[in-house]
Amino acid sequence: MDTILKTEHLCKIYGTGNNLVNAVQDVNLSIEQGEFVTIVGKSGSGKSTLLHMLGGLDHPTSGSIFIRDQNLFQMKEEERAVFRRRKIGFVFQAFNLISSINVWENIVLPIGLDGRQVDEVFVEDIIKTLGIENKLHNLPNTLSGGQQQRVAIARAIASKPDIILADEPTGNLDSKTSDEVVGLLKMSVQKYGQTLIMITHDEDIAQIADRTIVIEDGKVVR
Amino acid sequence: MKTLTAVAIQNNKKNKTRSILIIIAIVLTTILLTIIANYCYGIIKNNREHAGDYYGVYHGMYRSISQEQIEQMELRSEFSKIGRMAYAGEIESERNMALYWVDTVTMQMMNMENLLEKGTMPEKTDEIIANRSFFEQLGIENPQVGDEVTLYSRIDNKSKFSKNKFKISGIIQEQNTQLEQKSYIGYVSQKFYNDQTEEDTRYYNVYFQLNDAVKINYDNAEQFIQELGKKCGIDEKQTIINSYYIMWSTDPGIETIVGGSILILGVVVFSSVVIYNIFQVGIVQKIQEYGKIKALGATKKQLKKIVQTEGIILAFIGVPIGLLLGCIIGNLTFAWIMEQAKMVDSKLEGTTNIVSIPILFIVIIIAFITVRLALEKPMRMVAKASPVEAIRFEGNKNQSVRKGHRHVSVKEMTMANISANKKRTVGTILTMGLSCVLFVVIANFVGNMDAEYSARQNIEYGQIMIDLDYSLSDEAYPENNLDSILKEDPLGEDTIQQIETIDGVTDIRVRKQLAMKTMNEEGKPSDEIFSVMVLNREDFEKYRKDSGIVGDFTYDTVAEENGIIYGYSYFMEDHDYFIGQNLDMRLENGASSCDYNGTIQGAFGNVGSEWVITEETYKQLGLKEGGNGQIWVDCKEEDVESVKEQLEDILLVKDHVEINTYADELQASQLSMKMMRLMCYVLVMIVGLIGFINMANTMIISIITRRREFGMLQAIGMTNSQLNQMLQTEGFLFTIGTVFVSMLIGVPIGYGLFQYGKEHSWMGLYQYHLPWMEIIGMVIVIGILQTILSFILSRNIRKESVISRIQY
Repeated sequence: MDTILKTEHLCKIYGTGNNLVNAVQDVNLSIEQGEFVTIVGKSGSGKSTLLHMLGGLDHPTSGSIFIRDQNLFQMKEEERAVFRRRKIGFVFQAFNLISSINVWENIVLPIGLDGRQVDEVFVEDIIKTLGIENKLHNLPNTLSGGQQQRVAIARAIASKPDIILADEPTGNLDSKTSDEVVGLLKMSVQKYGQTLIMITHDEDIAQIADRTIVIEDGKVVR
Repeated sequence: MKTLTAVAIQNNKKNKTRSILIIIAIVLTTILLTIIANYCYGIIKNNREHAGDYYGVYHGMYRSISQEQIEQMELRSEFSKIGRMAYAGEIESERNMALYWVDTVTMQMMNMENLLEKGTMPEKTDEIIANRSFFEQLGIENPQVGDEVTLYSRIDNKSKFSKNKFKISGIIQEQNTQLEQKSYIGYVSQKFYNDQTEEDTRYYNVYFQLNDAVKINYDNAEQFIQELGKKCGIDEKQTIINSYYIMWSTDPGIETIVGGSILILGVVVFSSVVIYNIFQVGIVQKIQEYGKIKALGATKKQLKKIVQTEGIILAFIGVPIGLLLGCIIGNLTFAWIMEQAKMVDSKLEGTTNIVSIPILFIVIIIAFITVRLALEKPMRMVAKASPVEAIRFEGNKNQSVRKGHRHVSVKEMTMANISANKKRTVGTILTMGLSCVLFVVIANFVGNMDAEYSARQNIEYGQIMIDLDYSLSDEAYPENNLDSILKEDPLGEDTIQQIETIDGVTDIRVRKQLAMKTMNEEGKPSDEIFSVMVLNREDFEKYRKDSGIVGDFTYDTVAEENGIIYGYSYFMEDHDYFIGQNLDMRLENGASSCDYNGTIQGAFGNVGSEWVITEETYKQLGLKEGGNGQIWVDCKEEDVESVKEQLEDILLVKDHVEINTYADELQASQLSMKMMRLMCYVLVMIVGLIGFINMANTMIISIITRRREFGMLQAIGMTNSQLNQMLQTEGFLFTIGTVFVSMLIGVPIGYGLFQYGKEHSWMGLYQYHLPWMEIIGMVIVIGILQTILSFILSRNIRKESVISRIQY
């Protein structure tokens, strides 16, 4: 199998002097295409920081990240933004939907920003898969948490990225909805052949993953 | 209380951007208030000072009164200053030349001390002072202090002229550079006067100032002074009041104060809305924090107190800065304006210091009131804050679905954003637009001032105008009144013939001017004089097309009925004239006179003469040839100087005439329009700046509050340049909206103001045209400011990493 994502000696340090925090320390990872990987760890262990760096949202203090052999932080900012929207989809714990546009617009926005035409058949298929076809004209604030997260997942998948990064996507949901969302997410990535890296606290979710990475004090311990 | 102040200070520190914006808004507001107040004060102060400069610092004069009567006056406390002037003889000359003695008090009251250019006042019997033209009339070219003068004078008509030798002890400034020398007067010493007269034949003109404690106003001054005279045995016929001085010195400047107050009120309302807006937006954002303070046990009153203290602290920083800057800007511009005004009128003594401490105190109070007004609503809002309330500033609570687009990119995103925040968008566009409305209104007015038109109103034809310089009610020197001047006929046929011989003169036009007197009960003409202009068909119709016409009349209707038209429609009612009123008058043209009976058919807007009759009517009056009031001389532009010089030579021997050239008139009106523009634009620019601060605040707040949203957008693939583009488009839409609002409201108001001004013959308002240049300038400035602001803001926001913005 191809390695889709690789990190080398990835470090992130916040603050200076007494306030110095080693959020991520010397992390070397390798993730294969199509893999479903969960990252687990205690609060403040550095897992979110790691995920953000993997997605190019945060700068590492040192070390490199390769996505399909392309060094993410050797790109110019503008290039990285374009690269990110084509290769990486994000799902956040707080959904992060844009409040002023409706569900459909939220889903197709990354494609529009990339200047591509929307593959409507594909997007409608995702929407049906996620069961939000009746909510397309709704504004995000009028949806329940579970519905909002489905929209966020649809948005992440719609632009056909290689990797989906999910930061505790079920953290704000009740357990029933949570199971549904993870199930949908897993099914979708399988269906569309994407790689899924997910942070979670939930042991059950970790168990259905292909692999689980455990982080403690910024270091990968397992 | 200390804790609350501390919280307020911390709040201000934490919301640095908001605090800075509010301080700037307060500074600008205070600048504006200070400038307006200082200008009003300066104008009033100047008017008062100039009233003295122009008309003398005295309330009135009693004519030819005796030493005993003066002693009576000195006993009365109503008089604060009494000065004497006496006629010391007539000089043998073709012109009106006379000698007077004045005491130092009168000199002060008549501003003669300031006029003394060189030398000293006459003290010895043989000392004399006068202006250069006086000495030139006596044949002394280039008179100097110490030069000897010989003249023949006599004290009254009964005496013979006797030779007197004088030494020039001082030279007085020429009061006017024009040829309008009214009378030639030399001032001699008291000793000379006493030598000329017997003690029992000494009569004085006594100038006086009334005590400050005497409360008089323009309306009761004459009666009061007459009655005061009677108490000293002085007949009311001997009483002359200095009405212009009384008018200016007793006028508190109501018009200026009212105008200034309206402006200040406008500024207060506008600024408090802006400051309120900045506060409000900031507070909505922080409402949770106020909620927490409330949860900790703060009462409503304490919460209000916090917000009030926040505002007052900022005012304490902003007001002094604004006060200082306002004084500097106000003084500099006012000094510049006075400088310019002096170029037009050399007699003006400019007041450069227009700062008054009491007025500054008032400004401070008004500035604080403005801030306090702005705080009213935020205070109430904070007091209502619920401890658990979590308000998101944005959010479209009322809307649940949106039609949307199938394809979404930057453009759609921007539009969605604007339509989702309609209230905010409309609010910003309105406040920004309204501040530009003022600009558009003023541009409509200032941009339409036509210097050439204004100059042509004064010099109607040709390049040079010669006209009579007359008074209508000079009791002290009746020879200056129109009827007397017409008898002299300085612009008569011989003068015209002389002008015709001047090289370069291409055309001459003449207009007749008559003196009209009311008839008293005995059927005799009274002392009251009016000026009457005789207009031909062309001029009559030209004036008729101007605005401000009252009544329905044409040249023909007026000519047919030998009617009469009033010259200033605006004042018609004030003088109790009405259309259809019959006038029974006596008309004089200097050479002859006749009775006139006619009906008032209407009024012109402003013709520069009280009454107008047609040429037809004039012909029917059957007056002898005479009564030339105005002569226009045309020549090529390059000949103006030489023609003017030759005209001056011809007119040198004529009294009571003045020469004006079109070029000078044009220059003067251009200059005054320049001043007007500067004043207007200084005010408008500051108002615009305050408006811009408001816009900047709305944009900053809207960007700060959307920082997270922008982070989200960037996380899902929006590039920096797309973000920039989005903000620029937003700004562009604000600009368009602003311009639209300002045009929609500003142009009609501006047009209305123009029409109003035209009717009231304001400076050079003639033909309306949309002030495109000014408006384009405004659009460019708003556009540039907007672009810079968007650019800075989007750069600023990019400093943070995407993730820290999302987690914000």
